[in-house]
Amino acid sequence: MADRPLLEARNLRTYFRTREGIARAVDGVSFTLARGETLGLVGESGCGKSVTALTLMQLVPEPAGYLAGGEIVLDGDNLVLFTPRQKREMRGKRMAMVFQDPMTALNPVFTIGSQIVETIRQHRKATRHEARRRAIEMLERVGIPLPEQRFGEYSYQLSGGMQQRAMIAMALCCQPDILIADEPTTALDVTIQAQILDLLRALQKEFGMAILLITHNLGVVAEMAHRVSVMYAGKIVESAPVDALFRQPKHPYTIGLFGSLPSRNWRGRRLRAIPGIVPPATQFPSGCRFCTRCEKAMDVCRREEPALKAVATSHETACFLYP
Amino acid sequence: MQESSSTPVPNGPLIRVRDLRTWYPVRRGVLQAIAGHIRAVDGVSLDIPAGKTLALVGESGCGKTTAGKSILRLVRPTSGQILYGRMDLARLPEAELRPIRRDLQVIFQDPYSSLNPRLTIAETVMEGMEIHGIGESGQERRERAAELLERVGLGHDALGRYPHEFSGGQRQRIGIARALAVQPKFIVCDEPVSSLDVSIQAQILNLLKELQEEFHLTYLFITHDLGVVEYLADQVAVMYLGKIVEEASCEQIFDRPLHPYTQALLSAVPSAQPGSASRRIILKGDVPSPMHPPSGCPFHPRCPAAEAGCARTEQRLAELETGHRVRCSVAERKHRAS
Repeated sequence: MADRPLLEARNLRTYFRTREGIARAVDGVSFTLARGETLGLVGESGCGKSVTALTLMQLVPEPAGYLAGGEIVLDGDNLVLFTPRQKREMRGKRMAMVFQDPMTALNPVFTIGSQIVETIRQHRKATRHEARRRAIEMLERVGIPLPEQRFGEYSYQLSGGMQQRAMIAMALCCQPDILIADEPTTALDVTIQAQILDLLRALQKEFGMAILLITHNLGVVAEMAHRVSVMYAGKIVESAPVDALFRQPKHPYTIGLFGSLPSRNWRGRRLRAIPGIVPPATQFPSGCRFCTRCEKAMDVCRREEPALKAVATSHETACFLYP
Repeated sequence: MQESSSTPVPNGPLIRVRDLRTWYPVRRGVLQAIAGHIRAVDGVSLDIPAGKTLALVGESGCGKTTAGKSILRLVRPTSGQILYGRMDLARLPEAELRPIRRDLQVIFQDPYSSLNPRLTIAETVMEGMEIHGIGESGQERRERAAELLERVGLGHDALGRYPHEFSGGQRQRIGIARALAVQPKFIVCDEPVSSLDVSIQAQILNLLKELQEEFHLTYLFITHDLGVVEYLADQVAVMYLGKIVEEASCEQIFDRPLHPYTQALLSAVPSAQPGSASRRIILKGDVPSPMHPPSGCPFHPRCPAAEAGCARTEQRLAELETGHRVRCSVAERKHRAS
């Protein structure tokens, strides 16, 4: 039992019905997450990383979106089969989420404190007084100055960085096993981003939760993640421990992402941009979905879909270049 | 021809900004009385070298966008000079300014709100040419628009289409074509790649660099992304709460940042190399409100190197090395001692 992963996503498929047809936003995604581990999920807009997060939380907007297949096994239970009541219980207590934009994720008509108290009382037997004390403790723990005063304030009275801290406090107030952080620092300035990343690392050490970190920022991933999965067009195209991925990226898309990063090493030269754009989710090409933008595409890439295969120890990629 | 009056000294700065202040009044109450001012830009001086890229760097609210808008006279500066050739753009009446606007263009951050959704791409690109009398006929302007669109990487079939038919990266290309249509000398690029994915961002950065060489453009590149700055800037000016705190060549800034804020900013950028988070300077607190900036050095409440005097004395920009100016008395003293 000891080496069973905390969370296992098996062949997740989340589709949306749209006027243009079925959008296969997440299409056969599998990964595992161990206790205390940080898995980075990387990719550009529209690759399906946020939908993957919503699928895990069972928050995909229905009926437009639906789970077309797959299992989410959390500590032995398949979440997909949970009743709505069980799902509600799971959210916040076993798995919690922090969103990119705290201004829209926090409710503007309730105080910060009352939103945290609500979460605590939803999941734990606590009196109002106890919940309040716990909420203030949590606000203090995430580095909000004057937590007793902030408890009674509304989200608009807080800066972006403080809102993000409040949301992290709310997510962690019931000590979930898993924190899903969807672009938690994308809306923040770099000096504030550094504060929040530092906080997440400290909280992970203290509470031992696993983090699924969703981001487009390769720098953030390099700093935070133990392992990384790269997504493109609804699929994972490469998975590896963070060092291996950054030292020896294998998939042409991953290589392209690194080549696109502007830095001093590229001064005076053209960046190795990836040509073209991500195809819409209703019109993914057949074969390998990256074949339309790939410099190395071969005939087989247009005909067949490559499967994830090991190229080194715990390093997998879905590409015909690696037989 | 306005050419003669605005031709800059060769190799000198194309635009010289002197002690620029742009304060926004804050109105309160029923009578909308002025309750204070937001000092968005508060005494900025800059030389923008011709044919080069000056990057204006800082976090949200530091005043970098307002500085760019003021230089283009899209907002009216409160005081100071913007010297372009022999003219002071800060004081020029609107009518005299209009012919000069042809030289000074802008590319905005958000390619969604910066294109008129009811104009076709042809109309968008041709609008400036019509206003400035470029091209003999509509036919000629249309041909020129088609050439420009081709140049920025869009097919000429884009001409008759509307903005909503294009992706973010393609719209940014349209914005670039619109700016180029009037043959400008100077372009303010206000976070032109911030809303784009990295693979698209790289395409646009490549394009901007090519165009700079091809048309000898001068860029004021406003951004918070230090990777982009490191890649393409010649000169860098770092802004904090309306003031320039450090200014130097790109190499100097990245190799030897002297201001504590620049040092913290550079160290805060997560690098795409695992395990490099250790040497980080983490600043405490948030950026203060530009309506009530702290006394003395505006950075002192967050500064890891602050001394008692920093809260009292206004700091001056001192040239510590050739072309390397820093607004910090502590850094200045340390530098002189070393």
